[in-house]
Amino acid sequence: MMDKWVKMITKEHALIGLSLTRIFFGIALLYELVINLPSRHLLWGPQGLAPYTDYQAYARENQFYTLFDLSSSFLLVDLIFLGGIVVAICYIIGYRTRLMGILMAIIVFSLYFRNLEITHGGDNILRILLIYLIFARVGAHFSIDAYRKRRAKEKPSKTLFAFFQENPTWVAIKAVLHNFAWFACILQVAFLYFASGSYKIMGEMWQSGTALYYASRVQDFYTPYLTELLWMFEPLIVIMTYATVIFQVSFPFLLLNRYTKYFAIFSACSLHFGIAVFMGLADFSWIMIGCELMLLLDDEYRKIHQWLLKWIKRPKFAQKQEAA
Amino acid sequence: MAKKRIVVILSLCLAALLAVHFGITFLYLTPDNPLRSKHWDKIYAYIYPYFSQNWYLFAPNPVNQHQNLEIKLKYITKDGKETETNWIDLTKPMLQKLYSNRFSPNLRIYEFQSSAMHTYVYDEDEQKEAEKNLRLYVDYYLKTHPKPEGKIISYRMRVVTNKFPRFNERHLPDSKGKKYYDYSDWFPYS
Repeated sequence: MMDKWVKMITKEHALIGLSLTRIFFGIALLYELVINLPSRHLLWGPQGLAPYTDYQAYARENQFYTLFDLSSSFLLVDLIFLGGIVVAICYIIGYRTRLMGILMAIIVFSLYFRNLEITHGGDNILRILLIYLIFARVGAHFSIDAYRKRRAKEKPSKTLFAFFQENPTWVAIKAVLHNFAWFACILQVAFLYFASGSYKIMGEMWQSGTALYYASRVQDFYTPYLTELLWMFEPLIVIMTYATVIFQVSFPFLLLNRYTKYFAIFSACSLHFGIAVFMGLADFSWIMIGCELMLLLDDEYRKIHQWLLKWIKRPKFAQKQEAA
Repeated sequence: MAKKRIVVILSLCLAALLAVHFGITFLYLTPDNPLRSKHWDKIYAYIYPYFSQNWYLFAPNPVNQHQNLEIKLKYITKDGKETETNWIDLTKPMLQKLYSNRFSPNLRIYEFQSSAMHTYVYDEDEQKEAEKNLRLYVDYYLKTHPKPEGKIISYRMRVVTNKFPRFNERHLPDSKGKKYYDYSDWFPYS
């Protein structure tokens, strides 16, 4: 019993899922930095919409430091943006993943607290999960690190560092940390959905089944043509309003069973896809879908992969390909 | 054997750590209750800033009104007369840009003014802070947009809150909504 448990906790779980999450999170930061490059001084600069002295007073009052405390110059903002772009790219391709993960967490934290007025839920969950993910091995797949490790195995080195790295106790400790970090991420995402859903239960617009109408009509989230289409179907608005709340509140419990978990992931992805298209919240949705990806285990990803291979190779599909 | 012992002890410690961490996070996220208010200072000190979080996403009710920032300029024309402009809407042109392209820096800039307006109208404690942010935004706007000919001496802001038609009248246009106005003082401009 005990041995079985030790075996389970020392096996690194969800390596594929967490690697996919890593890629999604890396792209999320890269996107934010590149798209906001022209407005970096306005939004994060010393004389922009969040004046430096105000930021510093706030940070000292709350006893935290960010990269922006290094200097009050424009140059620092440029450096953080350019450095951030490099770090995000390295994180995506999995080059020195652990180090890049730490830098990602620091950069996202710094940008977040430098101008709090412009943050949204996506930034918030990203900022927290990046802290947990420092302790997880998120570069096991689809990464330069994994590629280099495979090559190194072919001609093993005999350095002290390598000996330490391969020490079974150290490997076991790292695996335990990895698994708990992964578990912390899942708990945090479950807290997000449950909290968000239970706050909605307290609102009369969600109770009356019309919240979706208001949320999509307000000009911030309005999408020309598309939104009007949505309002035409009264049953759709009511059903989707209730479905959103029920899904969010039940999310943590749906994860407890393999098949309801699939349903939870499917619902979450549909919800976020809908929010991205109908309400223009693409970056938030991207990060949330990135969170869902860590919920599938390696076996499940391998099954999906095999299933996809079979589907591509099935005779009918192959014939169509030839005909084309 | 030593490895197994280390694994078990480490796991138990981490499990305890997560239990405490998420226990505090739970209290941080709950609405006000006796346990939470009793220990609030400690909870806040632990959570803030690294694990601070806010999941009031479209909750308890989604925002259900439009808010536009408008300004009026007082300026001296070339022939020395003091004149006022009509109210200039700063929000609408920004939205038009966003509707044609959501993937632009305008999204975060829009978020800044929208958040400041909401605080200005609904949060009395933070109103001064929000007014400051709105003024910063107006300064940025005046620097980057065409101005009337002459010398601007002062400006005034107002937030137009439009409670657009409710669900039963959803076929009606925004112009049929109920409008509320929040005016600022006149501020000198140089």
